[in-house]
Amino acid sequence: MIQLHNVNAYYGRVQALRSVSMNLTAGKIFSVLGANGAGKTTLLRSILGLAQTTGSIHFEGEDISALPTYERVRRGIAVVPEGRRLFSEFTVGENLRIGAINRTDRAEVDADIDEMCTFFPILRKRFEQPSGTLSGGEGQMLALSRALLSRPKLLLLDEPSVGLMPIAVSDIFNMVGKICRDKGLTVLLVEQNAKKALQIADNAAVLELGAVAFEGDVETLKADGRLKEAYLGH
Amino acid sequence: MSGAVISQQIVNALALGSVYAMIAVGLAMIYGVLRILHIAHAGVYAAGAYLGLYFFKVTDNFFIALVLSMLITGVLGALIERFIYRPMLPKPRIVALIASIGLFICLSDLFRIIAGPYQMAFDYPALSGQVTMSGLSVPRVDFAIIGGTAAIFGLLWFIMQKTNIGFGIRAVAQDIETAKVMGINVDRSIQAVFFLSSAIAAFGAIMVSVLYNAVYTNMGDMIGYKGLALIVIGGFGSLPGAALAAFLLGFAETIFTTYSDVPLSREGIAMFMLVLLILFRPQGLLGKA
Repeated sequence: MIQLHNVNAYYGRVQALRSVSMNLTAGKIFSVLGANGAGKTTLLRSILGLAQTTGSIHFEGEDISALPTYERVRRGIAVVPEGRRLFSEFTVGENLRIGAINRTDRAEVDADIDEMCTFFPILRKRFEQPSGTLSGGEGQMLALSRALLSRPKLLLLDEPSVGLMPIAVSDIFNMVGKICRDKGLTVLLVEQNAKKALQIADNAAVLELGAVAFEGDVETLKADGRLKEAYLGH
Repeated sequence: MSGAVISQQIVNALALGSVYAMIAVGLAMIYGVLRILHIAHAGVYAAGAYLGLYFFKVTDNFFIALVLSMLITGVLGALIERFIYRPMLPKPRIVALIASIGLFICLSDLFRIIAGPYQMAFDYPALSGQVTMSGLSVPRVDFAIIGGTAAIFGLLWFIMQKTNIGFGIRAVAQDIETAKVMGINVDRSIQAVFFLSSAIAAFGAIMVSVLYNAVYTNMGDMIGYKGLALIVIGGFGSLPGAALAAFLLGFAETIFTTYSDVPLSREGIAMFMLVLLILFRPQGLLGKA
């Protein structure tokens, strides 16, 4: 579905990713764990074309490494950015619509918006309100719905648990798991909350100082004593 | 004071405010998407007048000249964005500001080289002269300015609120990076903003040229300065704020020049208003604190 081969990413002279290779299977949830500064967000930015990179990224067999961000998004990649990044001057409804800005099937877009409002009834209730009035958890629901409205094949989630109350974190993870399995989406979840991330993931990788320290299925990761100590806390 | 005089002043103020609004809204749109002060907009404005006059002489049809000038000036604005601002965007904004000042001076000199240093007449009899009715005497072109501005702003509102390109521009103005990951072609949105604001400036410039029967190299200077002042007064990047500030300035200037003995020029009043307003309301009229 998406293959990264020897991807290096740079911010000026600082190298943030070192020879990262990954292979995500279609329809699976893939978690990337790692400490602050390990390169998790940079990994997502590289896939989106927002970082300066070398190496190759293939999405559904096509090399997308040289494409601008909007072309990558149009091919079926969507993101829930860190900190949600809602358009605060837009209403909740406009934030949903902007997710579907490149779609021409208006009736289907309306149906999808309705579906999101059924998943998250608060969005229907606040539909005409500015998105700035939402709480953290509600904002995260909106950011997730906005990303899904482009009908992506690959969904990138950047630290969806940050800044949320524990109950909201559980809600969001449950919904991500449910929606993605229902829709057969491939998910790349970047998260510091390893326990939560591994609960819904099929496969996982650990990034350390910009390089892949582990990649495999979740059970193997959980059984690895060293990683267990470092990321799962027991 | 008679009602006719007051009506006359209102029409004058509306026409003046309309011209300011066309420049200020364009500058506010550009500031909104790129966070730069586009000083060279004054040069683009003058280019619109020169092109309008040229096409009017060639075609002898004012409407065709107006449309051609708006289109070509729009393209000029888009080219300025593509080849001057875009390469500078990764650098601090002061770099683009200096480039803009440089470009503004170059454009002014370019007009002098091509068209000569002297003022040229833009004589369009159908719009020159005064309309007199029930004691009211108003320049005919004032009505064209007010009507044209209403039509242009109506169209602009439609583009910004009802079309995908406008929706994208409003998203870009809030957060460029998030707009990119929504699949918006941000470069195209920014080009559209430059095209629209430059075309609108050309309309304003041609109308003012007919009003004063004059096209000259630095005709955009004062209106450009005022435009920049107006986007500050309106609240940086706020389009309704810029338009509101423009009409307030139009009225303030008309009232002061007609009824006051204060030995300040119109420009002096504009800048004085700016200083006062920024002292008491630093976020501008409709800007957020």
